[in-house]
This record gives sequence, C-alpha cells and structure tokens, in this order.
Amino acid sequence: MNFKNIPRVLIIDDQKSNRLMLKLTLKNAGKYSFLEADNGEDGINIAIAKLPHIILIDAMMPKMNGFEAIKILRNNTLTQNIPIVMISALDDTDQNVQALMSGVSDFISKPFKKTELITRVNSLLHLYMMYIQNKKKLKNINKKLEKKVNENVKIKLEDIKMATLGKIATSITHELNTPITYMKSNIEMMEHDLKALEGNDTIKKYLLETHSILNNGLKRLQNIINNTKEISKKGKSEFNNENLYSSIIFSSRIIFNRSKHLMPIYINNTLFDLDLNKDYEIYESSLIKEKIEQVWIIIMNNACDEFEKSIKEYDQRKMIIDIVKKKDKIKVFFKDNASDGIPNEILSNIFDPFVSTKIDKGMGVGLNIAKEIIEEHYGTIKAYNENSFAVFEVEI
Amino acid sequence: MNNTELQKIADELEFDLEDVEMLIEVFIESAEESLKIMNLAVENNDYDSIFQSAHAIKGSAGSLTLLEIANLAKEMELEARDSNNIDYKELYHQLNTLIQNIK
Repeated sequence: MNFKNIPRVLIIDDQKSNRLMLKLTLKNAGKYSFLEADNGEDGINIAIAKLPHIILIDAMMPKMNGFEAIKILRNNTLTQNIPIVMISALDDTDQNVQALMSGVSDFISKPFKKTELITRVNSLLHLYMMYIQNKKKLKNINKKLEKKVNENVKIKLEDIKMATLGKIATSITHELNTPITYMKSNIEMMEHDLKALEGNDTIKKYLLETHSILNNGLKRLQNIINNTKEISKKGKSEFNNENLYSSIIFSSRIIFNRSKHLMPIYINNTLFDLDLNKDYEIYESSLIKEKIEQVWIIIMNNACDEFEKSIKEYDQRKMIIDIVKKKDKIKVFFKDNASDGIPNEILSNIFDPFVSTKIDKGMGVGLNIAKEIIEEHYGTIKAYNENSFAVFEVEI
Repeated sequence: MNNTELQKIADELEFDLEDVEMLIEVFIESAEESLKIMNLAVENNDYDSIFQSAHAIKGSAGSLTLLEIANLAKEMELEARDSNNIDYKELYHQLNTLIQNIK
C-alpha cells in the first residue's frame, strides 16, 4: 500500500534487532520513512519534534517503559491522536489489558506475523492520514466561514447604522415641522406689521432687512426638512406600461427653466427644447411614472448644480442623455462635463445619504432617494467617470 | 549458522536471505550486550536485572524463530520475575552457549 505522502513511522524499542525487523517488514510492503528510539524518553522527544504518523512501541524497556511513554504521549496535544501500536513479547493477559487501558490503538504480540503487522499498521495509517487531511480542510473551511461572518456583520452594522440614522432624521424633521410652520406664519405677519410701521425709517429699514435674513434662513430650514422627508416617504407605487422617453422629456421640461442658462441637453443626439415631442421615440417599460421622473430630475438637477459652479464657456458645456434598448432592459446614460467627473473621494459612496459636493445646498439625499426608486423598479444605478464626463448609468 | 539454517529462517519469515543475515548479526550483537548484563546480575542475585535481560533476549530471539534460545530465556525471565532462588548460573551458561553457536 502506498500513501499520497510518505508516512513517518516511529519505532521505539530497546532491541536493535527488533527495530530492524519492523523496518524490514514494512520496507517490503511499501514506502515509509523511519524514526527510531531505543527508550521511551527519547521516543517521546522524537514524537513531539517530528510528529510521526504512527508509533510502534515495545512494552518492556529500561528507564521508561512503554506504558509510561504512552501516557505522556496521550497527554500531549501534539501527539494525543497519533496511532500507537504496542508490539511486545508480553504473554500476560493482565498486561495486555494494561496496554489497552493506557491508550494504545492496537496491540501485536511477538513473534508477530508479517501480514498482520502490515495490515494493522496500514489501516491505522490510512485512518490517521485521512484525519489529518480532514482537519486541514476543516481549518480552511472555518477560516472562510469566519471571514464571511465578519463581512456580513460589517454589512449588517452598516445597515443598522443607516436605518437608525433614517429614523432619527425622520423624527427630527417631524418634530421640527411644527415650530417651523408656526414661525413661518408669524414671520409673514411680522412682515405686514413692519411694513405698516410708522416713524423712524432707519429702524424700519434695519428691521425689514433682519426680517428678510430670518425669512431666508427659515426657507432654507424648510428646504432641508422637505428633502429629509423624502427619505422615509412612501408614496403610491403603481406600475404602468409607460414610454420611458416621455418621462425623460417631461423631466427635461421641468428642469428647462434652470438648465437653459446652464447647459444644452442632448437626448439621443437631439438638442432638447420645449417643442420636442414626448413621443418622438418610444421605449416602453413598466414604470411608476411620478417616481421615475423624480429620479431624472434629481440627476439633472445635480448636473445643473455642477454647471453652476463650472467655469467652462457655454459652448463647451454638454449634458448628454442616451437611451439604449438592451434585450428586455433599457439603459439610460446621463453624462455631463461640468467638472471633469465626480471627485474620487465621493465616487464610492455617492449613493449613500448625506454625501454631497454642495457646501450650502441641500443635504445630499437626492441620489440616495434616486437609488431607492431605481431599486423599487428592480433596476440598477451606477456612477462613474468617462473621458472627463460624469456618468450616471441607470438600467431598468 | 550455516546457509541452510539461515534459508529456513528466511522462508519462515518471508524475508530475503540477506536481510536474515543482517538480522542475526544485529541480534547476536545486542544479545551479547544482554548476556554481559545478565552475567553481572547472576553474580549479584539481581532478579530484576536478570528478568529484564532475559526478557530482551526472549523477545528478539522469538521474532527470529530462534525458539531454543527464546524458550530458555523465557524460563529465566519467569523464574526471576517470581524471585525464585534457582541455579541461574547454569541457565546463563546454557544460554550463552546457544547464542555463541549461531555465530
């Protein structure tokens, strides 16, 4: 019998002729490498250092006998599972029992039959080498499992963090809404009162200026609240067969008042203007119309924000919308060259809430809402840079 | 020990003749070591040491099918184990002669 790896056999016997006999017997039966010791103590040290695959040990030896050696080997974590065969001239039943009690795997009495020794040694080796292999495999599986669990915990924690943040945001906006409404109605009344005020014009002017600052601040607050409310907004979600092209046209019309000063928009290579027919092209898809238009508006509005900051001349600017049909899916690409692409530091988490390039505008929840809507449509949204264009790719 | 005797052992153990020659050589070497210890032990009536050296010779002789030697060694081993006061000197000489004869 030959094994995948050459088995190491440790022979512990004080009689050289016995060791030689065992070696010769096994040598004729297959490939083994041999380790030898002529007493129990040396045998233990070699076993710990070389980790043999099987130990053949004599019972009666000077210094430390076989039983004591086996006890020590069985109490050491490195050697406790190595099969041990006791080979002895003992013909005393009591001592055979003692041998088995001490933890030997098998017992062969001298003079032994060649085939008996080979068969027993090989079957023990076979089992033990399989055990080692499985142990290795198990260790690898455990490692992989541990990694997977750690990753999942990380993702789960991230989810919980976001959900908690969402809840906090919702409750804050809810709590803030009432005092803001209250302040708003009062500040409107205040304006009337101030305008009707008679007397010192300087003070009146000063008060009206302060009122205007307060009013602007309040408007901004309300804007933030409205944006945040979108996160937890659960509107109607009715799917209908719609022309996706039309939804892009509608959205472009809504944004046109802002975009016309900032950049030209090309939809499938046609320059957009208010006369462009909403059914000029047909891309049918199952959509929640109001929601999908919200996505287009968010993306185009973001582009407008970027163009607003851009130093490029108008004739250098371009917003390209390409609609491509791909089997039963439709891909929509939004490309703008406002700022030579999306900064790398936000590219990886651009769809997370509260990520924004806008220092004084909004809260950075737009794309997060867009992503949720796209996912509601069983689609995907990706952001990347391509030839100094920022690209948003939507597939539904 | 002549070739016929060696071949007989080789057949019985299913070993090559070469291997058996080597085994016998090694056996004689260690048996003589044991005999030295045994001689001293017999002089001193050290039963424990007689037991151990007889046991060592018994085991390896038995493995080589040297039954005459193995049986004599076994007799000494058992007597010494029970601390029986017998003529160990006589048995030692017999054993020594048997072992010298296989050279």
